[in-house]
Amino acid sequence: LSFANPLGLLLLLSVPAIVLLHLFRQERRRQEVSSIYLWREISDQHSRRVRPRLLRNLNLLLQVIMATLASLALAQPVLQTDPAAGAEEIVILIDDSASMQTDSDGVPHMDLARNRAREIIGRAPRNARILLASAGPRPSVIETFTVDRTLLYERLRTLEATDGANNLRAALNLVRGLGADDETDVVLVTDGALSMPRNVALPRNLSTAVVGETSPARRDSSDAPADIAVGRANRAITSFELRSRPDGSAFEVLAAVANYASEAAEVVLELTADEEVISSRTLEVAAGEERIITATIPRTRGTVYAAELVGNEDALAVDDRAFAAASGDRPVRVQLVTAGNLFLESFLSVYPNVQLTTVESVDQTTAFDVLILDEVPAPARLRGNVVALGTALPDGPFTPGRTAELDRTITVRDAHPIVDGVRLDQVQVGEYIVGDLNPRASVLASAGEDPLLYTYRANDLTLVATTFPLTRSDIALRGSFPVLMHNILEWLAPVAPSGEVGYVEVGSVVPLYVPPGEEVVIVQPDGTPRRYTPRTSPFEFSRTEQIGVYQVRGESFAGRFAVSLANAQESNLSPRLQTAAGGAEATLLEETAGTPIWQWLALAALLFLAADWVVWARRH
Amino acid sequence: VATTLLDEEFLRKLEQLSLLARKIRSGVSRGENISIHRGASLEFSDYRLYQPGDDFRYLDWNIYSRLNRLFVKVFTAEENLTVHILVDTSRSMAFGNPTKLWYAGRLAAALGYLAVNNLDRVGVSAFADGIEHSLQPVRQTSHVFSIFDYIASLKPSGVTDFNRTLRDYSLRTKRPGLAILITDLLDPGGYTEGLRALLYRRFDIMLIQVMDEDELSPRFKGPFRLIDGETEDETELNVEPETVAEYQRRLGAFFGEIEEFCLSHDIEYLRTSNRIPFEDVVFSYLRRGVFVH
Repeated sequence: LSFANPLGLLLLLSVPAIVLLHLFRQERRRQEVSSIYLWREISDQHSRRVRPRLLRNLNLLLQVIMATLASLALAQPVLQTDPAAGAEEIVILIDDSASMQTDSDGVPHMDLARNRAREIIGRAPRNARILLASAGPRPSVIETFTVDRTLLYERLRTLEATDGANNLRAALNLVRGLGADDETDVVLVTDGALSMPRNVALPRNLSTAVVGETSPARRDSSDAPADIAVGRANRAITSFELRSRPDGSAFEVLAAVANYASEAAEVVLELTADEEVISSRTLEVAAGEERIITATIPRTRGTVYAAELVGNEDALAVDDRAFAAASGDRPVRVQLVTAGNLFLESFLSVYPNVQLTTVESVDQTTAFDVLILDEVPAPARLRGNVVALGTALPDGPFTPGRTAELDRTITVRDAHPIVDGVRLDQVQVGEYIVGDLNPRASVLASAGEDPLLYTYRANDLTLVATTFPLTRSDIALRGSFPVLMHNILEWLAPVAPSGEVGYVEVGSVVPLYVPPGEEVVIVQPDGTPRRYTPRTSPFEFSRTEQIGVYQVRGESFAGRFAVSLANAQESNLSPRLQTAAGGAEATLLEETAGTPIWQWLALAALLFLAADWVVWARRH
Repeated sequence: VATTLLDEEFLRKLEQLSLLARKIRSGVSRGENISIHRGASLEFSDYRLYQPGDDFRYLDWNIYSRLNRLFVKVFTAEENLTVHILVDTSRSMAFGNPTKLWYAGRLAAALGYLAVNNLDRVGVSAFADGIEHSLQPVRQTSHVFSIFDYIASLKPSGVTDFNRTLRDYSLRTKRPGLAILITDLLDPGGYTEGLRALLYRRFDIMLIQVMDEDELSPRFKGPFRLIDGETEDETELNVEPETVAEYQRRLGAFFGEIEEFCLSHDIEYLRTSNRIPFEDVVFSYLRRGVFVH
């Protein structure tokens, strides 16, 4: 139980006042009697029993109860029944986004969240199964359903706030995916600086436990805080984009600085290239406004670019910096195995950043990023990115049968990146191979039940294949051909597009284009190295919890990528959970504030007042 | 009191009581209940044989001369009874519904009517802290109208001083007789001295204590400032069930003391409430032989 207006409890002082009034100024009605001499002795004897008499005074009792109830109602109590108490299955979803790095009275919100989660765990029934999950930039299960409280406490201890924005939508989907049904209590522990995603089916028993300045215990309805870190408004870099000029000589930089304070602020924005300051500007940013500036940085000046608000003492430090990095320039190594295909060779020779090797049979001694098999037999146990045109892998998903002539129309699957912009339905196909396709394969184009174009992913194999040879169709003559090949190379994504400079948001998955089987060392911004030996390329790296530049090193390559917050939503520390309205969110808000019970107390006080009047009236 | 005392129903009840009194008188054996207050005149009643010790003055010589046997004349002493009806008119008698004074007035009127019919001298006095004014005892049938008028004019006032009133009355009365006291006896000063004073003057005393039903069983509850109807003294009290029980215990003890005193001093005592029909009270007295002499 907490009180939104604790000052209302001062009304409790009226209780002793009422008792004193009854003690010393009991209202006595006049009653004339023929003689009082028989009463007088009784009166003397009775006056020595004042207190028991008071206790029997029903009016006094009713008035004391009424005053107490009125006082409690005025204090606006909120029943903070621990949302998860009593549930058999509880999911505790902890917001570990960047805003949880802020603090209240010097106590980081993440510490408060951990404590709150401990309270919920401690109050839960002993047999309740509890799941811990994070609702930060990359929602994940911290500990799956368990009754082991010690384990849960241990997991909580290691949980830290990330540098990224919250991703509540993904977190709620994760909860759904974990089998949380309508009976499962889901508690979101957060600082309140987030809003519920739209168009998401909220768990029926979703509630929130808000910590910090906007928690129900600390929130004053008449003076609601403007942000979750009261008194220390936030200023942030909300965007940092670099775009290469057409001639490739320089980058055009776009940076956005937002001021979430209620007063205008003067900030110094510094741009650096490889830690060398190349621009420093003092900006006046109005309250609640965003200033956008542009600059030009010579391309030769470096490979790591940063923007920083210098000397910015505010609530959140992580959004005062943003980074961008140029990826490595390694070309895509394509091995084309063909008896001769003018169209393919021509296309690949002009495709940017491709190092083409044309052979007549597969050369597995040479490393490649993409292997294209053009109507040639495929060896067994192929791994990596393979494009099979009119041929089938011996241990692949397609078991070839007879050859048939196509006499039906081609059906193309919509909304797949490989067929995006490709008019396969207009392609003329003469012969194709009829066979059995592994159900795990994804058919992109078909003639009736027979696949014509499909993709397949196995452990170490990523395959794009056609069941017709290029030479048995007119596809190579159509404008869709280069589009299709471009889409295939993009989808296989063996390397980063050359020359791009940028960053990913915290928690995003970064595709690393490293040779499969080669050890790669990824050094985090704080210097911690992580070692992997990926089997496919690209290798998807997901541990991007810190902002800064990640160095990627291998025996035959080196690269880097940048991670930044640059997220206006996360930098906005206003308690949106309380101010949003409508739909399912309203239900959530009600739960967030607890169950207000002042109406019931006020009603009870009125009933006691009425009872007091009735008793008084009957005695008079 | 004046407007309702002499209504038709009341008078009809008085007539019934009068007949009832005669009937009772006729059933009483001759020679019994002869009053100690003998009058001057004697009325011949019968003859009986002479007994040794009889007064020779009552021997009938004429019969002796004719029958040669001694007979003595037997006379009935003519009662010359004076009935003093004293009605308490203190302010405490103004309580009740009907008021105790109204009830006392009806009792006084009824008893006075019966006494007049019995050819007694009947005087009526109102008292509080003293005798206010009196209707002197008169032996006359028409006196009953004076009695009614007097009683109808009574108004409650003053503070009871029972002892002083009766002491004064006993001293100033030349012709003692039957004193009928109608009062609530609620006098902190007590009542025994006054009654003793009357007894000393050889009064026969009939004491009728009139109480209001609310005095016997108080119905008010809660915190009260109780005000004495006569003295206007106050006392504060929370009237709770146990308080009422204590009051009733004390009232019972008070009544017990009165009964004990009256029994030990040969005083006819009757306690009644203003809710009991007055004729029942009068009838009860008639059954006891009052006015039969």
